[in-house]
Amino acid sequence: MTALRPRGAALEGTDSTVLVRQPGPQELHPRRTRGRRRALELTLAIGIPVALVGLYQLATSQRWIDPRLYPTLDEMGRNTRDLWNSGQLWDAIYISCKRALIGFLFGAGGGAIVGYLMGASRLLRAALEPTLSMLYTVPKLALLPVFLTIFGFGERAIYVLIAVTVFFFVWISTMAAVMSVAVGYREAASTFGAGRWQMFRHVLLPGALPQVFVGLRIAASVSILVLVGVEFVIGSSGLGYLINQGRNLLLLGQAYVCIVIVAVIGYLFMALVRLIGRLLMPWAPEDNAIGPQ
Amino acid sequence: MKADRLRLTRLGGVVAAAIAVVIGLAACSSSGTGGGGGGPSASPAVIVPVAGCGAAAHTDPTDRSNNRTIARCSSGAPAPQKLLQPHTVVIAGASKGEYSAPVLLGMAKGEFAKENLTVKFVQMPSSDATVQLASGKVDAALAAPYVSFTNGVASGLDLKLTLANYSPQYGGDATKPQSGLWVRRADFADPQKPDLAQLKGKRICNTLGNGTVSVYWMQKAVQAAGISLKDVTWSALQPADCVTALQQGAVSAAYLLDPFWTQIKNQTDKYALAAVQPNEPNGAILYGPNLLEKHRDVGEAFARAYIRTINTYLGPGYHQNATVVNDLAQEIGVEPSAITNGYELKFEWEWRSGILDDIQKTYLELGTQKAAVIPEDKLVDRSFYNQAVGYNGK
Repeated sequence: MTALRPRGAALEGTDSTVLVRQPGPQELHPRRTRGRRRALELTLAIGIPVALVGLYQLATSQRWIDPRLYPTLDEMGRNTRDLWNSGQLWDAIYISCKRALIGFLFGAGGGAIVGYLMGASRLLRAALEPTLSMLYTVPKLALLPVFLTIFGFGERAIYVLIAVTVFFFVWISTMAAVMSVAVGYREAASTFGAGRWQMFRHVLLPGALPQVFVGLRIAASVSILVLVGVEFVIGSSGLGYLINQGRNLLLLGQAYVCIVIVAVIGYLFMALVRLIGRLLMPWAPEDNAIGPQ
Repeated sequence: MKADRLRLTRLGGVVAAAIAVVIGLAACSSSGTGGGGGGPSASPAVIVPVAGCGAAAHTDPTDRSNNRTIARCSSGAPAPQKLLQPHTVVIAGASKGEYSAPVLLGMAKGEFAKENLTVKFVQMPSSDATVQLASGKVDAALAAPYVSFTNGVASGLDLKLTLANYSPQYGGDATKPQSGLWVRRADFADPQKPDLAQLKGKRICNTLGNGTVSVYWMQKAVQAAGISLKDVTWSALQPADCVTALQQGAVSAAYLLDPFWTQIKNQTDKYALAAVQPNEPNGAILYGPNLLEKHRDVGEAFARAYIRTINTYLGPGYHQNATVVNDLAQEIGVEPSAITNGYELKFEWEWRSGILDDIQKTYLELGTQKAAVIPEDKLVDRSFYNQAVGYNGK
C-alpha cells in the first residue's frame, strides 16, 4: 500500500519494517514508460549488431585488419548482388531452409513423443535413458559416413542427420518438462477423476509446454548448425556448400555473405518457434529476459 | 522513480551516440582497395655454377612433351650452404603422402638440417594454407596452383610458385590404371566404350569441386568428346567418400587420387579410367612473403635441400631402394607395401611454362576465377631453383 508523503519524513507511529513508496512513472504514466522502455530495447537490439558491423567496416577500411583476407562491406555487397543475380543465392537459401525444416520437424516430432512417454513413465525412462544418453554424446557429424552408406548420398541422409541431432535436444527438454510438472497438480487432477487423456490435455501438456518450447528453440538453431556442417562435407548445394566453396576458391566475400545469411536464418527460425510458442501458450509468462515481468 | 527514468534515458542516449559515432566513422572512411602485395622480390644474388649440376640441371620450360627429359643433378648436389643462423620453416600440406617425399624424406635424412633449417610440416586444407601463407603464419605450402592461389594473387596476396613437385609415371596414358578420372560403365549407353559426352548433366566427384588444378586436363578430355565441364554437376567429397559415391552410383565419374583408385582398379568390368594427368607437374611448392622477401636466403636454402633430396634419394628406381621406401613409409605412417604397390612418381623441381595459362583459362570458363588470366611471371618465380642449380639463363 502506498502513501503520499514527503521524502525523508518518517511516518509517526509506523512500524520501521513498513516500506512506503511514492508512485513512480510506471504507475503515473504506464503507457509512456512502457513505450520508452520498448524504444530502448529496440535500439539496443538493432543498434548493437549495427555497431558491430560498423566496427568491422571501420577495421577493414582503416586496415586494422587486412582487407585482402577480410573483405570490406562493399565487396560483400557486390558478392551478394552477383550471387543473387546468378540465382545461386536463392537456390542455396531455399534448399538449406528446406533441409533444416524437414529435419527439424521429424526430429522435434520424434523427440517430443519419446520425451513425453519417457517423462510420464518411470519404467520406460529406466529402460531407455541410459542408451539414449550414450547415443546423445556421439558427435552426429561423425555418424555422417554411416548415414551416407545406409541412405546414400542424396537428401535423405541430410534429413536423417539433422533429425537425429534435433531429436536429442527435444527429447531431453520434453522429458524434463513432463517430469517437472508438480505432483500436486497430478494428484489434484486424479482427485477430480481425470482420465489419461484429460491428465495429458489439461495438466501435463500445459505444464510442460513452456519448457518444451525452450528445447525447440535450441533445437531450431542446432538444426542450422548441423545443416551447415553437413553441407560442408557433402557439398554440392546449399549455404554450407557456398561457404565452403568460398573458402576453397578464396572467394572470401562469398563465404562471409553466406555466413551472415546463415546467422539471419538461424535467428528467424528461432523467432518463428518462439512466436508459435507465444500463440500456443498465452498463459505462459513472457520469457524475454529484458522485458518487464 | 525519477532516478530510474533518468538513468534509462542517459543509457539510451549514450548507446545511441556510440552507435552513431561508429556508423559515422565507418561511412566517412574510404574503403581500402585490395592493395598490391609486397614489392617485387629482391633480386637474387649473382648466380654461380654449382658442382654436380651441369647442363642437365636445366631444361627448356616450354617443353611439355610426353617424352621430355627431367632436370637432374648428381646425387648430393647442390651442396648445402649452411645458413649463419638456424631458422625454422613451417610448411603446410593437405596430407602426408608419397607426393610429399621431397619434404618428408628431406626432413628424415637431415637434408634441411644441413642448411641449418628445421622444417615443420603441418596438415591443413589447401585453401586454408593459402590464407595462412599470405598472412605469414606458414612459410611455404606443398599444394598446387588451385584457384584459391590465382584468386589470392589477383587480390594482391604475395604468393609465388617456386618449385614443382612430381609428374605421374604414365602421364597422359589412360591405358595404365592410375590416379585419374574414373567412370562408371553402367552410366553409359555403351558400357564397353564409355563416351564422355554422356557425362553431360551427370555428377563428377572430387575433393575440391571445380577449383582444382585437374580441371584443365579433364576439360580437354570432355571437350574432345564435345561437352564442357560446365555441363556437369560437381560433388565435393573426401577421397574415400568419392570411391563410395562412385560405387553406389551417386556420381557417374570421380577423380580418384592415390591410393584410393587402387580400391577399384581390379573391377575393370564396372569402372574405366577415362582421363589422366599429362606428363607434367600439377603440384608445387608455394612460397609466401616470409620466404619470397623477408628471408630470401632461407627460401634459397629450402630450395637447395628440396632439390638435393630429389637428386639423392628420389631418382628413377627409388621404389627399389628399401631404405628410402622404409624411411618414407615411416614418415607417411603407412606400410612400405602401400608405396611400392603403386607406380613411382617422377619428382622434379622445374615448373613447365604454359600450364598455368591452361589452368586459368579453364578456371575462367568454369567461373571460379574472377580475374583475367594472370601472366606467369606474376605467379611463378624460377629464380630459387635456378639459383640452387647454378643456371643463369645462358
